[in-house]
Amino acid sequence: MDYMLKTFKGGIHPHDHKDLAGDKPIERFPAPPELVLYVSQHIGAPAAPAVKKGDAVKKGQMIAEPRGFVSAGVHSPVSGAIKAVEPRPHPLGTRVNAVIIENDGNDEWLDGLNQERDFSGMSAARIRDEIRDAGIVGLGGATFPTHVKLSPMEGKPISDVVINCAECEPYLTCDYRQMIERADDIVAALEVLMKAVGAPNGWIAVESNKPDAYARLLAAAGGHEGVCVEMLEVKYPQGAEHQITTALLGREIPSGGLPIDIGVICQNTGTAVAVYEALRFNRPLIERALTVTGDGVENPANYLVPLGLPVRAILDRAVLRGNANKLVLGGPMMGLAQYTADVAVTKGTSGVLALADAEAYEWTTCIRCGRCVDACPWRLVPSYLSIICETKRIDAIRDSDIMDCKECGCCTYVCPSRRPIVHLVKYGKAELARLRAEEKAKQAKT
Amino acid sequence: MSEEAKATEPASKKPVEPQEGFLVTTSPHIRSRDDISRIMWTVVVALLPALFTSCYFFGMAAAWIVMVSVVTAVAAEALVQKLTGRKVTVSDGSSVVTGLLVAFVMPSNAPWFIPLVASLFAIGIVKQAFGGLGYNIWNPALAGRAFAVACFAGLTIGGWGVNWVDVTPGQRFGNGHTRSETMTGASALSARKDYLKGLPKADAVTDATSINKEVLAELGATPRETLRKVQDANRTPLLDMFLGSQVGCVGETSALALLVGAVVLLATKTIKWYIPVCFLGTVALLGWLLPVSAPAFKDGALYSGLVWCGGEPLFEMLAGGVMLGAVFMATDMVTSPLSKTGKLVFGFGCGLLTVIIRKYGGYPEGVCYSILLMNTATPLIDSFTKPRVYGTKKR
Repeated sequence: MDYMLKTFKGGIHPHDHKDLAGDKPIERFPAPPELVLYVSQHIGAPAAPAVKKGDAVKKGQMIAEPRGFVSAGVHSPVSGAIKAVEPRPHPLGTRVNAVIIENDGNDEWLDGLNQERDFSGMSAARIRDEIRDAGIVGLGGATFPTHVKLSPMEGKPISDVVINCAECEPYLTCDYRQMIERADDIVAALEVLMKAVGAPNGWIAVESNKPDAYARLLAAAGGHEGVCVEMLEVKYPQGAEHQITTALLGREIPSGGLPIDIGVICQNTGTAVAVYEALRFNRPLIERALTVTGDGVENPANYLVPLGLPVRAILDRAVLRGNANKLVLGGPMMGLAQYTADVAVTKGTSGVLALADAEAYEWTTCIRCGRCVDACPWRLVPSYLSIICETKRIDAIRDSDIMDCKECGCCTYVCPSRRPIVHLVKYGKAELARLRAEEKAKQAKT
Repeated sequence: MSEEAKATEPASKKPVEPQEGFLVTTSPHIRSRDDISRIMWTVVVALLPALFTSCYFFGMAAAWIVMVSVVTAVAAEALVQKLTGRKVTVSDGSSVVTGLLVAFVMPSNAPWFIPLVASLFAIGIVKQAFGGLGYNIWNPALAGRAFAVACFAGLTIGGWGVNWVDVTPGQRFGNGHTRSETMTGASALSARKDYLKGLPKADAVTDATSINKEVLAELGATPRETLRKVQDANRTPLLDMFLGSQVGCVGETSALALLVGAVVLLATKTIKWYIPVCFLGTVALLGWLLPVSAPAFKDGALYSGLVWCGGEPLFEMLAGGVMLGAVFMATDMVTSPLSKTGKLVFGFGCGLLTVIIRKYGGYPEGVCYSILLMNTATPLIDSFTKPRVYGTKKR
């Protein structure tokens, strides 16, 4: 390639392993007899269950209502009966209240839903309301409610909408498959999102390891005014909101801020598809694409799964290998390791990754090689942060830039001493939060 | 896919019961292949070409020094770790690297107890007493050499006069020296320095007629001409210096072998180019640029003047320990700065100090002390060259 691809500073080049499932078209996963829908599948206030044990529900019916503005409703992916409302193991490692639905297999939609319609005449406010009512959140993993992102903020006009098609996490291919299979829908979603926020510019950013997806999107975007399809360098974390914004526009987002602070909104590929589904077919967010992959499964694949599908059902179909010893929901860089397969798919589950013979690394002292400094996309000094967190120097932690760390994991990936830098930083942040809360309580007393 | 998995027919495949008790850790769940021992053994491999050339030029003497030094370093590391109840980590190769580097900065005719003392000090005091790998402030090998120089005042090239291992005197190298001459002669740097020092000084002598005619003949009509004469009188062909046929320490003489090592380190991404290039570039530039004072004799008058831009850049890079220091010593991860800017500053500082010591200091060579001094400044450099955090204004 003779020209310089757009990118950001720092980052790493792990082996992407996207060949495992990359060529497998997205298959619809059959709805299981029992689904587990957590009331908390997003950032913000957990939803409040709107049903009780014994209630009959239709497909697409809201079973938990949003509480407050930064929240999202949860809808039933099947028709059936409520079996229970009880705490269940959640991918975060805690137990979270969940609505358990018994699937009656009839697949009956709630009246008025699942009907094709023309959305070209919808106003910006109507689009936001439709997206909110569909319970759409960021499907890349951060699960921030999409309608909140789209809501206008005083003094912050939005100029650019970015559809994040980087999919920089190794192994994951579900977004790639959606780019191939639903390129037109993604472009349509981008246009409607641009309309919702009044942005003149739209971007679709693809990493250069997906040239066929780039070609499809480029073809789909032809003739759409203001839409630009851009190829980015393959580098993790190219798909992080801040990095993709800086790569595309060459501007940095102020520390502690969001892309909206410089007039940009980023949406994940899956979110764009969900927005299209909601507006075009009046379908709430009840299913999502995910990749089951890793060297710990026999049959890597991309599935369109109903939310609430137990992860065990996915593993049964993908066939777990005997030497698989680590189960991760999400990608290998930022995904969450699970202690049990008795968790269910949430809105943020982009992948089910089974790793074989995963190691619990023994770690040693920092040898100051500086690789983490070169790799950190935030240009922090991770080695220093890891040392002050390890030695619990709370004053140093307070004076450090630790809150600028977004835990992307580049530092930990490259560390030759195998230091669990992300883990130590998480600990340091928690200690700092605890200290600040204590100080606040003390101040309130006096 | 493992062989077993391939062998199993899909039809007969029974779903494995998902095991509970999965390994749970914080993300990320994948790591790069490079770990400490991989890095250290890569450095050992990169040092091998220089080891082979030193054995070729210095014979068994070099092999003995290397052996004593490496064995002492490894044994000292194991012993100290055992005594202090820490995990013995000699298999990570870092003490082998230190041992090799200590040997490489020993005079080729040093008696066996000198590398032993230097290695013991390097590992026992400089490295382990400060907390082991990652905690040392100074490059252990160079600190070991500095300690040995302080202990044994005669520890200069040729300072021991005789070889403690028999060398074959008959073999002649490119510069026409025999092996024993190469091992006991004066290095190119000290020869030039001593020669220049031995010339009459204008300020010390008022009457030029009192000076021996032959000595006056050694001076040029201008200070620059004198300097050129000094350079010509003490010249080893650059090709000989590049290949390694010159007087020097065990591992420092062959720039070619060291550059092969540098290529290994750069290709395996063990080191970045920042320090070596900045170090060598500074030595070449300032070695050429910075002035030296030289006497001259013209029209019956003896006078002296500063000669700017009179150095020989290639000579400066090939002579002494600069190549070894820039590629293997200054790039020591533990004792050099973290960020790119920091590394560039560090490399520049090493080069500047080296040239200053070479031109104006008491020693003919300054690589060892310049790196040690810059090691000391590393925390300071780190604090001044912290990268600007994404999304913040310049500090």
